[in-house]
Amino acid sequence: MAINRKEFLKSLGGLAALTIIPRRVLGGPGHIAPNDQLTKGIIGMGGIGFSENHFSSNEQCRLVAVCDVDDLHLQKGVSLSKERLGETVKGYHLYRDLINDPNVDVVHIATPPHWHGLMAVEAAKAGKDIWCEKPMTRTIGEGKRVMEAVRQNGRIFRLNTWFRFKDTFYGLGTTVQPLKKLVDSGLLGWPLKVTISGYTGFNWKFFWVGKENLVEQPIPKNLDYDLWLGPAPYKPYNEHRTHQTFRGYWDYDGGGLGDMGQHYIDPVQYILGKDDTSPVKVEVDAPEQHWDAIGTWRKIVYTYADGCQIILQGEQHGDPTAPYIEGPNGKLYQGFRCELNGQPAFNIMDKLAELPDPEPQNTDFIKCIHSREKFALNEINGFRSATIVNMGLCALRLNRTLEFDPVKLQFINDDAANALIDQPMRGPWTF
Amino acid sequence: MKRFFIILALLVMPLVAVNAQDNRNRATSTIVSDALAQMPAETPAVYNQVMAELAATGAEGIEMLAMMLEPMAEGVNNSPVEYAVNGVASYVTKEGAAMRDGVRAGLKAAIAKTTNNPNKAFLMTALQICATGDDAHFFAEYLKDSYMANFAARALASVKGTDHAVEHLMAEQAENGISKVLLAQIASYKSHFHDGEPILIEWLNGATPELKTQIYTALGAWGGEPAAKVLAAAAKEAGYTFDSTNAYGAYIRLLNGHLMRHDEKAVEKAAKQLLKVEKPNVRIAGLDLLAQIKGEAIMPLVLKAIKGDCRDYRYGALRVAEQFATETTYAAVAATLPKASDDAKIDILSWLGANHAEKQVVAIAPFVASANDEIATTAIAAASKIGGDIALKALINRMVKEQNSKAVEEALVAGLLSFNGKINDEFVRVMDTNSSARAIAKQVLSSRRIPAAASKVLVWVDNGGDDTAIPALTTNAVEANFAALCNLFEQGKPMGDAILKAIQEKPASEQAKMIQDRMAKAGAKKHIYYPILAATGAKEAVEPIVTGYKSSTGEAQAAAFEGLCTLNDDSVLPTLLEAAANPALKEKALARFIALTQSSTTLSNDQKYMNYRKAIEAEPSNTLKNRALSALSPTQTYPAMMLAAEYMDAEATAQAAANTVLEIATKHPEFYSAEVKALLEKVAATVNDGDAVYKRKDIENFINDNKAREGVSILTPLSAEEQKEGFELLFDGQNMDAWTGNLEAYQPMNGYMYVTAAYGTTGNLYTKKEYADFVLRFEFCFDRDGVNNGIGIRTPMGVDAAYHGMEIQVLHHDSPIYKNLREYQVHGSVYGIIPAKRIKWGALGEWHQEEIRVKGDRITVTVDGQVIVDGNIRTATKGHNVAPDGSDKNPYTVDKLNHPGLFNKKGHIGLCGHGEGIKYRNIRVKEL
Repeated sequence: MAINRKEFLKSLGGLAALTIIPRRVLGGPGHIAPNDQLTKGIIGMGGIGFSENHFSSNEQCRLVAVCDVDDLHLQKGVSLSKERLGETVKGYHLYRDLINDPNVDVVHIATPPHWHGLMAVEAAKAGKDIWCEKPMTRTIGEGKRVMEAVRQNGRIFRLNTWFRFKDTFYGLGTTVQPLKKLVDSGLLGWPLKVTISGYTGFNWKFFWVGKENLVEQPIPKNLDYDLWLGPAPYKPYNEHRTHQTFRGYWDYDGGGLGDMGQHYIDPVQYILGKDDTSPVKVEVDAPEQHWDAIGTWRKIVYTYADGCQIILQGEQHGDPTAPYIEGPNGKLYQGFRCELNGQPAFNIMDKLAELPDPEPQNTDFIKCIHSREKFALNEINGFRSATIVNMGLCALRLNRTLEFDPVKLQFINDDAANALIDQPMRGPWTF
Repeated sequence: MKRFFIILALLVMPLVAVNAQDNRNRATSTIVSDALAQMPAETPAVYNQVMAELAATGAEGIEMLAMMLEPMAEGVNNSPVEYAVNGVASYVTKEGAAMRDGVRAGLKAAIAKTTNNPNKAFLMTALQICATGDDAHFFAEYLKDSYMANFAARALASVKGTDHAVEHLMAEQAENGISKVLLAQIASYKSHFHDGEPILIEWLNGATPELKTQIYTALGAWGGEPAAKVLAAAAKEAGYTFDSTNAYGAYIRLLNGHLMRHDEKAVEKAAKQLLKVEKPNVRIAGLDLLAQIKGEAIMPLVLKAIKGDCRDYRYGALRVAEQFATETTYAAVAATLPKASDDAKIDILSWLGANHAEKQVVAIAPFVASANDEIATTAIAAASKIGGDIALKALINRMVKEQNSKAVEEALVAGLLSFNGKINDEFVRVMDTNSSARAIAKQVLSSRRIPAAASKVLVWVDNGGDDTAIPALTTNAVEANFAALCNLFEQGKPMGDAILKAIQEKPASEQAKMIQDRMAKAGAKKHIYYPILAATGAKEAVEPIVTGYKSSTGEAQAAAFEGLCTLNDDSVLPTLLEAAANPALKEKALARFIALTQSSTTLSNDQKYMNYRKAIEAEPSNTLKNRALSALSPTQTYPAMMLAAEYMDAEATAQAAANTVLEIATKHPEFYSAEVKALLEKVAATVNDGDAVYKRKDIENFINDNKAREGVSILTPLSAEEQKEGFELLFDGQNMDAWTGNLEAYQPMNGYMYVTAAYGTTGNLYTKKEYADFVLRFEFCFDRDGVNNGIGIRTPMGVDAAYHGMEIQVLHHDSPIYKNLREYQVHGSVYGIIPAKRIKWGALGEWHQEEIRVKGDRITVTVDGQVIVDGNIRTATKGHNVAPDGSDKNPYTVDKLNHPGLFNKKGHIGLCGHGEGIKYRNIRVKEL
């Protein structure tokens, strides 16, 4: 019977606060006791970093460190840890110090996306397990590197969107489970067309647009702007680039598509059974995009080799009556309204109730860390759904149709598009 | 309008394109400015057209364009130029070399001349998109410029064909003095960069940590044998730990790169070294390399890892084995099960399951019976993933085992529900075996439908009195159970859903008939079927339920009300509103009233607005008020916004109200005014949810974007003069308090009252108050051709004012549709009684002033200062408002009809709409 670490720490009294013993040390080299408590550190104490799901400390996993390049955010992280969680945590300015802190088992990446790839790769090399917020990476190339580093170092990686395994799927009025079951049943036929639009219950958050003509402003004293930018190209500081509004700029994210894309698309990839491949084509219908500030779009269409399509429709565009899923033999609408062979299928849920449920997924991250099984949404399928998002962003930036090779992970005959796959970092940052 | 223009442009484009170069003969500067006027291109087609024209201007045009950038400052707008430059640079990457060369040359010339750093950096970023290897030296020029160096390095790293030039720069570093760090960093993005290798290794002597990082990274990307030696030593020195020099990471990358180049021997040796490191991730990296070289031959190492006590490494090894795994691999792993530790057993079982190692089900199955719960549950999950007879048999055997723990029970339920294959026959056979099997069966059957199980489950509930089986019965009921289910229902068991499930295959009307037949036989219990009848969704269910509700009392009425609240039919909306008058039913009735309105596909947004308004004004709980306030948001109407605004003050409704105001106001710049600005500022001060920061930003942005309109007030207050004279306001642009009647078709919009007949309801708008002698002043505006309206005076409500009171005609009589108009129908006429002088209207959208003076029998109408009617209704009809002979033909009126209300002493003032398209504002009245 392993010692419950909390009890163990309690028995040490005052000393406990000074010494946090990582799990590797406690059970002897390489040994993990099943009841052992994990430790985590959060990088990025902005919006999501304080979400209740993440900013937590409990029996299973204890918060021991926080990191931010904005002193005010960092101070808030440290003081709220004390206030809300009763934890005395270490506060780091440089994320690398958090990753290399031997007291940290799990690195939780809650920064803007332009940092995700680099931090995840470094955490993997440091032998840490990783919880990464969506979108996984802001380029396809960075996603490849995360996949490699996680595999080579045998790490557990969780990408944080969860609709493929729990919760009502936005406006659809159903979880993803029965959708998966319906698609797997073959009742709709094949190939399928999935439409993700305001009309099918998904808001593309077009308020995440950037501003053009930004005038340089003085950098606030509390912000290490150079470190905030990190691998991103240098641009004169303006408040709108950072903190709550960074999503509007190509250098850091991908607008509403970057923000919501993986939430909306990952479950579709799961439903369609495309976790190990990518679309072969992406077409866009959008106004021309600015080089720096992200704009809006009307329609983005992804096509897989077998003819399946994922169609993204911007707000107020497209067919308001389009079903969510459409196949040669049937259609599925919001609220699980279903048509088969042109007739309403009122009893569809009963038909599905006669079929086996989809294979259970590993949805307990902590359990996965102990058992070393892959989490339901990991660096491999997460890379694929992030790639769908990133393919769309590349096509938007170039305003043209792109063809993609899902095995080589490259665009076909388009150097400018491939240059967007591998975007060099601003030094000294490097993989 | 913009969109229309673009469509037009697309239509005529082929003509334009053909003529662009030859006939249009535009100067380069004209092409550039024409292009800028179209930035950003709205569609890909326009984009391609404009960019083709721009690219064709060559170096001259591109330079001219790029030089139009100004140093950024308040008020400077570089956007069009940025769109054009970035657009053309991207565009030419898919075009011929000649076009691309022109753009490159133009950009380079502009970069050389531009002095403002951010603009220069932008242009270099654009050049990077379309640059070729020939531009390497151009970029290199900027590697020593403190601001531009990073941009130049980025371009050299990204642009293909610059490798040789970069190697050259490295070789001559002593002379050119370019930063080694930058050069090494650029090199790290290259591949097969062998001339650079000895240089970088040499630079390691005395290198700063920063330089080391870049060199290691570069060597890791493409280094050969010498690099391998360097990195092996550096990684070892770093203790195979990740540090800022990246030695460990670079080393692993190099080894993987060498494998791609089939340098297997050296890698194998290195990998074996890694296996000795006491860090699981490093050992996994080593094993992964070995697996890539030797495949299945590394199985002894994997088996050793399984036996070891480091779980991290064990599972890592199993994952590594996946890349070569065959049936033999699975068999070898499975063979270790009997002697494995408990932890290892769990890992092996879950791994075999995750990999669907079908043949190993024989090895897995025995562990389903394990006394160790964790092993058993893992084996159950693995067996269900694989499926097949052996797996099913193991699960079924465990299911009938007495006294399974909660964890095992849960695993069995999950396993059976997701079992890869059919479980039905075996399952039904054993489900009744003992209490353990039954407990699991009840859970499985509450979500899985196995029709063959229905009769057994019915027996559990019916004869056995086991109410915990009701969910299973509900999921599985079949038509043959109908009568039995109804009997149970009448005995008081909750069978509603089961009954519906049993007959669901039938058309709704048939279902309703079956239920009604049963109701006829149920005597005093008849009413309990109302909710079920409603849930059939049959049209035929509506009438009996509404009647049932209206004609019954007590328990029966309660059941009918329940049914009423289930009916999904807009026609029950009035009945629900009626029911809301009963305090006991109010809350539920209004909740349903709101929900039904929300889901209605037939009600217009304005009708929905009215319904929500009625619901809110019925004073339900705050929860419902908030629900209605939120539901107002998707109607996106002006009155909805104004209604919500009234509820921002009360704390309990402030949030929902504020969000609705926000959602409507910020999506409709055309509603914006000084008043809406004030509302939005109030919203900003009110919102307090997790997104409040973003919402405040949205509001700030919106207000900034609409500055032009913020000074505009939509309100038209009384002038001091009129106030002195004793006028009072009937409509100030917003407030409808003085009015009653058809508030749906007369809506305050942005400062005026908009009349529309498109709302699906008829009826007029009336002043709440009655007036005898008065002066009415107002402004009006025809929004479309041929609009017909009227001002009712001295009229009762709900009747035709022209006959039961008077109607002063309001008509856009210039429309060609009125060419046969009678004189007593022109604008201003006392309809049918006194014709008005015909005036000529100006353009649509112009506002006109009108005054109607009513004093005794004298009516005076003045439009835009011109008196068009001044007459006496008694004189005009010689006192005969109706035919003296009692017939319906009256020779004394101009229209030869009776006007029984003509001599009313007083009455309401009404707006009598006959169609969409007229606006009123600034309505005021003075009693005489």
